[in-house]
Amino acid sequence: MSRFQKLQHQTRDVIHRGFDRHIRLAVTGLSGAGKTALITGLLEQLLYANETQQLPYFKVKQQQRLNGCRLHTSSNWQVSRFDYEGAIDCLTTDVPRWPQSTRDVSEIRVEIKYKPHRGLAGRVLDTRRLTLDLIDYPGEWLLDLPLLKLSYDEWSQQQQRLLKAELRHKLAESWLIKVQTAANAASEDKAEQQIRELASGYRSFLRQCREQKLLLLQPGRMVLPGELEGAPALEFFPWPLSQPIPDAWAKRLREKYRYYQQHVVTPFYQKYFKHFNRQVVLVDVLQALQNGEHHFAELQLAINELMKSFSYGNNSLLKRLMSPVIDKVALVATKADSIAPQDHQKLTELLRVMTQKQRQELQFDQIPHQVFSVAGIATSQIKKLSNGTTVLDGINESREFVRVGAPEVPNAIPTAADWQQGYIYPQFYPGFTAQNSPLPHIRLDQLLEYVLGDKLK
Amino acid sequence: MSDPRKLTYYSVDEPAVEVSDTDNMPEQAGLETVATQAAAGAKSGRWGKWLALGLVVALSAAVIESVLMVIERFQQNIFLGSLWAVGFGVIALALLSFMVREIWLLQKLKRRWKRQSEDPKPEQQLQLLQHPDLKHRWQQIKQPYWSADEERERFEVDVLSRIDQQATRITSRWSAEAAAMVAVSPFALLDMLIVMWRNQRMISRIAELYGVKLGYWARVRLWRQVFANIVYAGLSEVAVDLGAQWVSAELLTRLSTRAGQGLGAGLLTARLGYQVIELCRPMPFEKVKKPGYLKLQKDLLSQLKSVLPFIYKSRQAKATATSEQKVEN
Repeated sequence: MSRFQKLQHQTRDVIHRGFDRHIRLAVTGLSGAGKTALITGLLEQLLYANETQQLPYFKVKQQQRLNGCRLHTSSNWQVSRFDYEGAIDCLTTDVPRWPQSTRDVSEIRVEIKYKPHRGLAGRVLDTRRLTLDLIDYPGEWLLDLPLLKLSYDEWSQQQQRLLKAELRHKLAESWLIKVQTAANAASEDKAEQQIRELASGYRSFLRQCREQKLLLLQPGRMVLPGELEGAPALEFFPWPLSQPIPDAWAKRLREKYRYYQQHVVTPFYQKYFKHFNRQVVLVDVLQALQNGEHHFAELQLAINELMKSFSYGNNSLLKRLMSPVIDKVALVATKADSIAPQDHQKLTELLRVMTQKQRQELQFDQIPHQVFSVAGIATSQIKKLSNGTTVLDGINESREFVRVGAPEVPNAIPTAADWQQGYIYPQFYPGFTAQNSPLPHIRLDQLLEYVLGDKLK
Repeated sequence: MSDPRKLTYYSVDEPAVEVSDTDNMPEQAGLETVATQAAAGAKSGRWGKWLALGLVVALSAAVIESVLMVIERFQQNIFLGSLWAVGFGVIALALLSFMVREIWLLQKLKRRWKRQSEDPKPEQQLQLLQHPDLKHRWQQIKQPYWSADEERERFEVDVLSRIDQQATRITSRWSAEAAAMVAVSPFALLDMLIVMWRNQRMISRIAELYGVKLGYWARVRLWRQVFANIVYAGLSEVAVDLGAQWVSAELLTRLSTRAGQGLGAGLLTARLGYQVIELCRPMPFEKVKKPGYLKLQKDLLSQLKSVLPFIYKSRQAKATATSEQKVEN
């Protein structure tokens, strides 16, 4: 019976894909970019769409053609369900907090039922459905995707370049010395042991990088191993030195790397990332500004690498069924609730400049794309003091109600002098109760309209 | 700005307003510009100047003469004199108040036109519109994080478009009525009178909807503007529009000439209505589609048909009856 049901599910999925009634939305973002909050916000807005006045830009709702949305079982039964209810609970308990950072892949499906008003469907059908799949996963793992296109040596070269940066070099210093001494004493019979030790050294280096809020950390499973904790698949590291790899190690390292590519990254990619047809790229520009020049540059590099590993194009019928590609991209600057509304424009502009290269590629391939500044869940209230200063009211780390003057956002990529001065942005915490639902957001309606609107006509 | 490396904290107790409560924005802008505009409008050529001079002289002569006359009457009989004085006083007062009112209303309309080309805040526009329900609706949808552009777009699409719809409905109804009346009226002068009368009524209805109150001169201005628009800017458009609608052979063969005349009057009335909508609207059409003529023609025909069932019957009658039967007029 359940086998039959599964078959039924899958057949329906194929039909939906064929008719272009199925959107798999790639919510792409590094760890801490706010994927979980955005997905929760999107779900919240969709599920309560008909109860709220907060979605004027979402046309299907504004034209009163939306019957409703509901959560649905995903046809991929091996993947755990995205814990939407848990996230909302987190945000609305007595001591509200942000949902925990994601440690594993989860998926959720929303079914949107609406009245079509255009085309053949508008004449023939009373209601129509659109299936939307949202997938949440640890941002750390996302950075494994670029590895698919790199050989071990290419990857090592890339890492060597990264290690030249000041901060990384400082953190890696002791490990580099260890590699140097071990390499001098490399021998065939001790190789296995030496590599394991150095790999664990590399792991602790990555962890330190993470504590320093660096972003481009590869391989992602070393930072967050998931079920691979302690597995031999993780016993490798990029070759960091300019001298050639000792013969005793070279074969082993390359083999491990290839194994990691083929048995860890490829399945992850095949299973979750191959079938996406829309993408939302989340970038926490403000956090990078606050962390300083290095982080900012690294974020730019990381997005660049990331977007390379997705395939973009236009979906024909055959392509939709066999191997869909992403045909629309939204570039999103998150956490817009920690700046004043008049600065949102600056934030989008900044993201536009940061992603210039990728946007040019998209433009060249004629993939529609747009830049937004968004907050999945808005935790601050914008107020004006009597002297005209814009302030943000919100709850800070220690659960106190605070009022912060809206911080400055640079107009363009900051200069060296600007970096000297630095930037800082408030971190607000959620302070909601169950009565607040649907939770407030910033510009999710425009995002929804952009990502789904053309399928809801 | 103070040190950007540090967040500035403010006291929570200090009074602060929600950004969305900016309803009571003071009405600014416009006054001084209107004055300059009026000055610019005053130079209406050499003849105008002489005419104005003559008028002033004649007026002052009339005033002096009436004052003299009143004085003379006083000398004859105090009772008669005071009666005359009161009479003239009342007339003068009425004239004065009429003029003040006209000038005021005209200024208001000018200010509105001025504002159309500027970039006003939706709250100010709402005040002008005087629709409490729409005000309420705007307060409901308005989000504090919107930029000025977003606000403008939402205001137009969610609020103003409702008034546009009402105005379009009025236009189509009024033009259908004009069409029907012209269709049944027996002679040309009556046609013209009917069109004038209906158009006048329609203009004030639409203006009312957009919160514009029209005095006599304001109306004249509007008419002038409307005619100028139709004649200069819209001539080609009219030709294309009407041409396409008229030459459509199917339509022509189906209509009796009388009804066709009515339809023409109706279409012109509708065109006028749309012009008035554009002039009274507090902002130009941006995200909302301008009301179109295509649907209107269909509406007009169907409404005409319900008023004048013989439009279509003529053709059927012709088909069945003998060939020498005249098409009824």
